[in-house]
Amino acid sequence: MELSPEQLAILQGNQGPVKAMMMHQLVQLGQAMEAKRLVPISNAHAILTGGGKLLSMLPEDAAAKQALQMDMVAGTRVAVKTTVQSGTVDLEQIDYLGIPEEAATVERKLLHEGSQSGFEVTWTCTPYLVGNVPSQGEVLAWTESSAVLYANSMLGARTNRNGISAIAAAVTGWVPEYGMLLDGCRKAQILVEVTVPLVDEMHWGALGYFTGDRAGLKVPVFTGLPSPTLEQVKQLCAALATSGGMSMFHIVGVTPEAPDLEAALGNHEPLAQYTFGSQELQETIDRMRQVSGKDIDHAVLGCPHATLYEVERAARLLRGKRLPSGVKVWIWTPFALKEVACRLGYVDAIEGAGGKVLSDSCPLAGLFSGGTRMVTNSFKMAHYSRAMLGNEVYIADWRSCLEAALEGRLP
Amino acid sequence: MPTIIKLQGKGRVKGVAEGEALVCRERISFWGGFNPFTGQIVEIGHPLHGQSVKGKVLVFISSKGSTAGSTVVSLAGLLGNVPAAMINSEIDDLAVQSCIACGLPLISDLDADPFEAIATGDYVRVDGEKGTVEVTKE
Repeated sequence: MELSPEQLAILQGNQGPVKAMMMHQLVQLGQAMEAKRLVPISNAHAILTGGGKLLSMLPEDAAAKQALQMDMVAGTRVAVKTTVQSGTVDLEQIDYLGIPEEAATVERKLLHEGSQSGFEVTWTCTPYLVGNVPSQGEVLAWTESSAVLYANSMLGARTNRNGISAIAAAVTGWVPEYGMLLDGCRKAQILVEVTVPLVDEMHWGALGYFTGDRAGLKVPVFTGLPSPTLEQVKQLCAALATSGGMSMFHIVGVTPEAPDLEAALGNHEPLAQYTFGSQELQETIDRMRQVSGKDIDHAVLGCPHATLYEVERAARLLRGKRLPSGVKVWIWTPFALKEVACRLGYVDAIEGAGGKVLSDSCPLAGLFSGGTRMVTNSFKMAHYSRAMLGNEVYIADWRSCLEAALEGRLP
Repeated sequence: MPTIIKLQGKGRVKGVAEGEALVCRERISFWGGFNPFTGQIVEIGHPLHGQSVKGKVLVFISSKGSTAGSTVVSLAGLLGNVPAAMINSEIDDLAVQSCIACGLPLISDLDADPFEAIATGDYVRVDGEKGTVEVTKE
């Protein structure tokens, strides 16, 4: 890989040891992915969290090392606009979520230092809900698999699936040029014909879960779909990146790089072709309904983080009602939107019914268990919570989730 | 007599390591599908469910799932619960980042199907610089 004099100087440490280390990571990544050069980014979405409960589970030396690493990052000025990925602590709900005080202290420090260094400490998996909405062709370094899919597919921006590299790109301003940054890699290789109407948002999640399993790392193109709402496409993105590992999808006639099927496929034949009809839809839903009883003790909405509309409609359904004791409703939304939801009375309506509006994190990122049997409208939450939190799960549309919570029982 | 097979691939992340092979024709999500505190695969229904990858030469298709996978592998690295090396049949940037974070060699594009050439329990030596894999079968 060829480096410019400026990049080489950073690598050699003329901007300090932290940036040199970050540059070294980017060069290693670029070499591994056969990039020819580093290119500038216009914004980043990066991880900045101490680890929350995980931190207190680590042996002392490992915990200290982890905290030190994050501290070093938070103290380094970012080179570009940088929003911050969901963290591991809800700073407003330390007691309610049982977060150890030392973990909260680390997070408060990161919030303070990170914001001084230019990080927009948004702590959300949906940067596009809090003002990070890139335009077509912008080069980004985003983390969060569902947001990467949203940026590439719906907005036509360009980002690979960054993990630790997002922070390196944020502080140096560069990324290696490979994958989604190159025209040729953005073409579809897998064709999925959708022959069933996707009535609910959860059905879009089912389509994503089905397709991710089959497409793996390859870019799928969908035919037969209408223009999705934000809430629908959020479920599609999250589920695709749960069972699969691709960075992009196309919807013919809808997404910016798929005016027609030929353009989406780059005039090549697809490597594989699938039909998603009513049978596939039902089978996929049934996979996430393996429960041993009908009583439920928690409903989780807001995976990925809820839009203001999702909070509003939940408030409308719950206003004036009361959840049975022992049943939780958690709605996770970016802190920025929770502030608005408070002002508009949605949070009062939900919490008046006994539910909770939470932010900055999620049950998976923070390892917050809500009970033993969950209802959720998210395939991502359903898939991961079984292994990470040990609960049973039943997938349903958002309304049925809340109605089940009010009954304490599945229909 | 043990037989030794030599394979050539693309060295993606440098380093030399060896260990017993753990082979699985599947993808792995290191966030949510892997427990950094035990080194075990925890994804429900995964063929490696319950098995530890610690110290193994892990042969699998690619990473999948959350981009936070590399931070989890990095955490597992602090705890010493990572594989010795990784061999992938499809390359993806999350596996690369995981290996960079922990200094593990990573090889892809072998000149033989890794799932045919390497079996769980074989002893494998990986050179991420040269892109070579040496498989010893008992």
